[in-house]
Amino acid sequence: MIIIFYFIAFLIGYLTISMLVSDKIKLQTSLRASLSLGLGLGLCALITFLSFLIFNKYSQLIISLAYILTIGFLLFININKHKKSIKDIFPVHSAFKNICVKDTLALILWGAIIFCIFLIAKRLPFGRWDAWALYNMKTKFLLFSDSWKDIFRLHWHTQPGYPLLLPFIHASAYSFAYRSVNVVCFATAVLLSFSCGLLLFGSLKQFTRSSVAFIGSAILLTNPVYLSLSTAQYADILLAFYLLASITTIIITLKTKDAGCAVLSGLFLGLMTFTKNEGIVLCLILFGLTCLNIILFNKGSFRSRLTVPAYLLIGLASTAIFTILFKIFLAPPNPDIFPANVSNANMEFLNFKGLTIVINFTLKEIAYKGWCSIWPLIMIMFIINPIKFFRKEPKVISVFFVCYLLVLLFIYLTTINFDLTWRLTSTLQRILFYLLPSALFIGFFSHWRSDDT
Amino acid sequence: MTLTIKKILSFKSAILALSLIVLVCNIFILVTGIIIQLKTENKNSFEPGLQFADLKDDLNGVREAGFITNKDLSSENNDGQFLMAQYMLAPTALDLNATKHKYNILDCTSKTHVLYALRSLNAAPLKINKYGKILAVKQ
Repeated sequence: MIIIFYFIAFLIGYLTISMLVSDKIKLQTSLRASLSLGLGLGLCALITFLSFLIFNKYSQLIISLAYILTIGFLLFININKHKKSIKDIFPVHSAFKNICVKDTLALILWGAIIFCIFLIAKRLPFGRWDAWALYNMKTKFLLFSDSWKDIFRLHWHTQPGYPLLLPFIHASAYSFAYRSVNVVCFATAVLLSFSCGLLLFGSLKQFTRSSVAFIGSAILLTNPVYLSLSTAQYADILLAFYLLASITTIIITLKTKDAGCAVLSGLFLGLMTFTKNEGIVLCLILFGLTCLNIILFNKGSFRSRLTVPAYLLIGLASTAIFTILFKIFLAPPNPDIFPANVSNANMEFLNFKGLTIVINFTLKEIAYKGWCSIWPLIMIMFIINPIKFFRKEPKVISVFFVCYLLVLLFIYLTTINFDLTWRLTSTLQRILFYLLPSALFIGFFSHWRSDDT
Repeated sequence: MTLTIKKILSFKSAILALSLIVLVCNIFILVTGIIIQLKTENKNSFEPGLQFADLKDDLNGVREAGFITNKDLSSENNDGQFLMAQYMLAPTALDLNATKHKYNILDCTSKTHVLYALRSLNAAPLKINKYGKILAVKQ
């Protein structure tokens, strides 16, 4: 049953967070739960990837054993190193003791949202184009091929250089599902769509009032474009999740200077790199800005200011190493990034005309009725008081958005293999989609943070 | 009193009011969309590549096969048949317009192109399905 896999993933994520994050840092329940699930799914996929690298084949037995060993190891670390008992690690009794009417109502609401997400997902049970053409197709190769590395010899239309986190999550889930690949992909998409909303709720509740957290997450979870793309079985929803998780944990790290939290942030940053190629850019910018912020704006000796960035790097390296292995030893070069003949490439859009096309298209997309004015709302949040976005922790995130949007602009203006308008049509909406949860978070967080003075 | 009025007229309240308006619009569109979907739901969702599904059994255990077509395969204009075939026939890897493989899928726009392809490959049709997709084997 697929729920067994999701529970195993949750457990691995939960134990990892319990191991890393100090008890002094109180994480909201919804935040801890959503981070646990996302981290667990990513770590399970990486463990599965490792099993493929070592044994060169798919084996349900090996994957199951690997998970059991991982859970055992994490439990051992938690109990011995942190001197915790099982009750301390899993405070289920106290969690249930504190349930009130408000929590029950909240649970009913979340249940209704999951049901709505399920109904929306049913419109396209096999996902959209890239879902079946790229990710789900590669999942089939992982599960059923005698030579799984044939994925990297496929035609470039199938983007053989794309990172494989999502296919490995599907392959991991399939090991426990006893269902068809399509059902596994469908269920995972619904879960991720919901989890991202829950993560936004938990992240906002960690720093603001419950009512603000509810409004922010409800806006996300009822947005037509968000629901449509999050249930499309793309890797974009994973990227959106890990980006928001990275931002949230980075903010906690900047506030608390906790080493364990820094490692956790690094783990999420590294997972982004194995989700999509854009994740590499997102990771590098966010990592660089966070380190710069800590080194330049913190008091204390230079050496002490390097401590948190060092732990961030440890976490990043732990997960990004898989991306490095993948890119160096397995994946063919991406023709979009490494065109065959750069010197002769005619960059016909690297001019004012190209800039005009990008800006016009972006404005049209932001005004698109499917977004239900969510982007104008975020822009109003910024325009009303931009200073709040560049004070304390939000400044790292705001500068990150500016840098990333500039990188995107550069990539669009240097388009050489495609028509620019076609490229914008194919990609811009999805870019806005995976940036949306983080943009909503920074908007509400900047205005309603509870420690604002 | 003055403080309450100030609070109501503050920027934060304005943003909150706008957020609630956006939320109400979202919920309205979501509920309307779900109601329409439930009323008009088509219970037959076709898996992509279904037009190649009956060729799958013949390619069982075949690691690589050719996919021969005369269609426009640029990113902007292709009709997706190659990707649908690759999805449906995975884990058999399809080699686009390669003539070296024993098994070949033919997806051409006319019988003339099919005959030309068969002749170039020195292959004979093993299976022709109702969608006009052909599995050919080299002789």
